[in-house]
Amino acid sequence: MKGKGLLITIIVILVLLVIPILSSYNGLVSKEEQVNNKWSQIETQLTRRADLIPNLVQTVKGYAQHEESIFTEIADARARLAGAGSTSDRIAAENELTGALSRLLAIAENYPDLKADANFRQLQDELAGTENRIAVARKDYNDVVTVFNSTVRRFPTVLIANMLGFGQKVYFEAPPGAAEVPHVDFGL
Amino acid sequence: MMKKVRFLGKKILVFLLIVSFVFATGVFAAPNIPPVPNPPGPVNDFAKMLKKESLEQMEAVALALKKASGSELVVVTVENLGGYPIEDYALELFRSWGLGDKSKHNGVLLLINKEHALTDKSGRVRIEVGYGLEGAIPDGKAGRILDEYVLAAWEEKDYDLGIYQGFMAIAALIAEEYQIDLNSDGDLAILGDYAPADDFPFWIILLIFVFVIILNSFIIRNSRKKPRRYSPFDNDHWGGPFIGGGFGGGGGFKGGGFGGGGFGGFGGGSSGGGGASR
Repeated sequence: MKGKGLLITIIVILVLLVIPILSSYNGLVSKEEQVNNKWSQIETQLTRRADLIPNLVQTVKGYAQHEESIFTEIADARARLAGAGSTSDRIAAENELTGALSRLLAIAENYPDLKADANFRQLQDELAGTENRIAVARKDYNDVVTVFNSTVRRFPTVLIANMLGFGQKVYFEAPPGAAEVPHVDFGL
Repeated sequence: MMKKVRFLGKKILVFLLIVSFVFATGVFAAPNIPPVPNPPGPVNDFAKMLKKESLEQMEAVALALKKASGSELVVVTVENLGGYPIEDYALELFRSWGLGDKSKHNGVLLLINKEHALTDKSGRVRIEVGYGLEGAIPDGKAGRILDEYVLAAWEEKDYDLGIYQGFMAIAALIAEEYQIDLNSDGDLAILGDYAPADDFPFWIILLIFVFVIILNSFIIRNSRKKPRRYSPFDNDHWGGPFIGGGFGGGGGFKGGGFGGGGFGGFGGGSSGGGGASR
């Protein structure tokens, strides 16, 4: 009789322990999935930007072939990007590329013929649009990372997260000075 | 002792005030956009930049577009952006109003910042394109519409005309994407003037196609007479590229839309920041 009561108590305690673990585990999984989803949207835009670069560089070269240093800078940034392994390496390399690209556009300002080139204008619009999409995707990503990280750190989820190996996610910090989308202005 | 504590309390209060102020104005603040108008409509001339007749025509075209394809083309003029970049403002407005269908995300926003338009500063105007129409209105095309239709008229200080032309040019691209017959609706006939002309007309493609086939059969007959294995006019080298090329896009949806006469509410669509600004 006494043994039965003890057994029931133990089962009740176990159930009370297991249910919150399961539910917070599921919560963590779905929040992590959101983070992954938003990250993949950033990746889509980064790929799109990477596809634009060869064309853009080629067009600028046609008018400004003497600006060697900026072309090497872009090539270096792309090489580093290709070799980036972890998410934080990737973010650093992407930010470097963002800086190099905005310098490329700044240089283009000095070449009136280039600025008037219809092809260049279209590429520049597409680059500006893509940079803006990256900024939007980055904001969306950081929003879900905030939710995820605060869940992971909150008690008692923190115990379960540690037990099951849910670490905090890295924020995609904007590079300094890249908060503003490069404006395309042809002074019309 | 008591005084010191109270002093400390004051310090903490001031600190909290500063912190909340920083948070309120800093990274976490979103632009203060106008609420969804009641009833929701496609033309929202908050800054009073439009003439009555162009306003009515734009409304009619937007309504017809929505009826035919479910897409929502919306124009908004505002006095200023409260200091925010036009990209941030447009995104916030687009998402909180929810332009376009909830699953197709086929909304487009033409946003005009009167303050910068009048002073000719960048951030005057933006076309914000929903996810679903990014194929129909790529950033390059959006930029060209702004240059050729909007800014060209604004050069002459005709703000009403610039907005009107830009709106119609966007509408023409949407109509093309959904393959809407412009003669099917009296309100859409006007878009014929803005139809994008950068693609080859269909009959030219057809002509080339027929020409290539004739050429091919001719060459094949010739080569039968006198076989040459690596002729540059060999069938393998020719046929392919011409037959495949030229046709793109297409594949829009039809249906959806609203039975009634009004614009109805906005669909709840979203944008990922596509489009162009000037």
